[in-house]
Amino acid sequence: MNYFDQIDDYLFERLSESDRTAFEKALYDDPKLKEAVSDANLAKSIGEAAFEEETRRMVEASLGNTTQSTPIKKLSYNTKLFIYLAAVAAILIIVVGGYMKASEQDKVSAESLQYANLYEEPAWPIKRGSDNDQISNLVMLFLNDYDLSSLDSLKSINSDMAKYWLSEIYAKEGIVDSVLVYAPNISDNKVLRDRIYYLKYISLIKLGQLDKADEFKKSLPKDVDKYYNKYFEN
Amino acid sequence: MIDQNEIIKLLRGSQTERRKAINMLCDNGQFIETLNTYILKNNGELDDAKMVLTDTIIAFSKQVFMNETFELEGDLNGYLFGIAKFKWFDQLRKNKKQFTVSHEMDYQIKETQESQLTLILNGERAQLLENILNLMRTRCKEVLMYWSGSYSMKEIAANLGYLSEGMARKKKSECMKELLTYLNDNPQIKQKLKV
Repeated sequence: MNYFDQIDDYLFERLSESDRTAFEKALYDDPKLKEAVSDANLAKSIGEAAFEEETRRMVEASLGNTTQSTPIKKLSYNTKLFIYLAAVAAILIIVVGGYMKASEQDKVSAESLQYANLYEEPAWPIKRGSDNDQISNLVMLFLNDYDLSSLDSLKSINSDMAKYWLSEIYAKEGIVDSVLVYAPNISDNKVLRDRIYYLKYISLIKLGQLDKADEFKKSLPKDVDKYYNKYFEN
Repeated sequence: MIDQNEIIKLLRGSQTERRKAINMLCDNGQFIETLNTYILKNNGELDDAKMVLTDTIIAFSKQVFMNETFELEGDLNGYLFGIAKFKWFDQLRKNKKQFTVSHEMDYQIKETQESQLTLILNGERAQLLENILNLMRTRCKEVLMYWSGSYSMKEIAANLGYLSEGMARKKKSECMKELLTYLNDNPQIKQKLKV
């Protein structure tokens, strides 16, 4: 009989009366078993202490303070005044700060909404067999599979068309600061040129740079396609 | 109205369930009001009442957690008040205060239960035990906690999210081994804790 396997059952009083008597006899005869039972008892105490520690934390958290806090002392008039003023200041900071944050959020969301209203998708390149085949494939790779490596590939191509489609992708994703970085200056293709003006303009709107957007609009050539007027007049 | 059977069931459950039970006990306004009145009438202050309330909830939770067969005979608030009174007498004895105790609302607890109500993390051994608990890993503390409450390995696995009772048994063996290695390496601490 291996009494060491019965230590837990002995400790938690799960042995029958006869097994318990036999175990206690073995305990008397075997100092190693006695030591093992003593160790297990000690571990049991530590387990109970762990329970008490955890429960105390839960109780204190639930009551909202610690039980070993010092008694509340009477406060002087100056201390009370200081606490009162600090409380008023804290409330003001919270109220004003909250208002400013809310205004900021309103502004940002208003600009995002405006951008959503202004943005129109281009005619994405879906035809094969043109000079832009590689660029078209990369654009479609991004649109179909959301493959981010296609953006790196587009960036590595040294051409205005690659930059243009890169800026179209960023505009679609609403990453407008990248639109402003990558949108090329194209003068030999009026359709593309006007589309790029439009992309830059709505990007400035989304960034909240309304003055810059206004200046940019004023700087545009007079022959911009009338199609975009509805956006620029917005 | 507090559901005492629900509280007992929760106290023998997972950590989340125990926290829920503790919150219910801490929100027990009727008992807290009775306790505050009693402590104030018996040489105590509100801070004392708060301390007694905390120790009472810990002692009651421990009694339920450590006794699989625990059954509450009668009203929960009456039982809690019995523990609270025991705790307050004990405190007054320790402070060696001269006191006359009011016998209003005199709920009694059985003498056999008194030993179970003494908290381990009190007195001289408390600091040693706290130091050991600080050294132990959280998972080991949890396993030992359930084991010391005579939970089966299957119950420990269920409460601590182990995939099998075999894993719980393995974890318990590892934790016991770590603990005993530490105690054997520090025989003076082991000796003090065993006394």
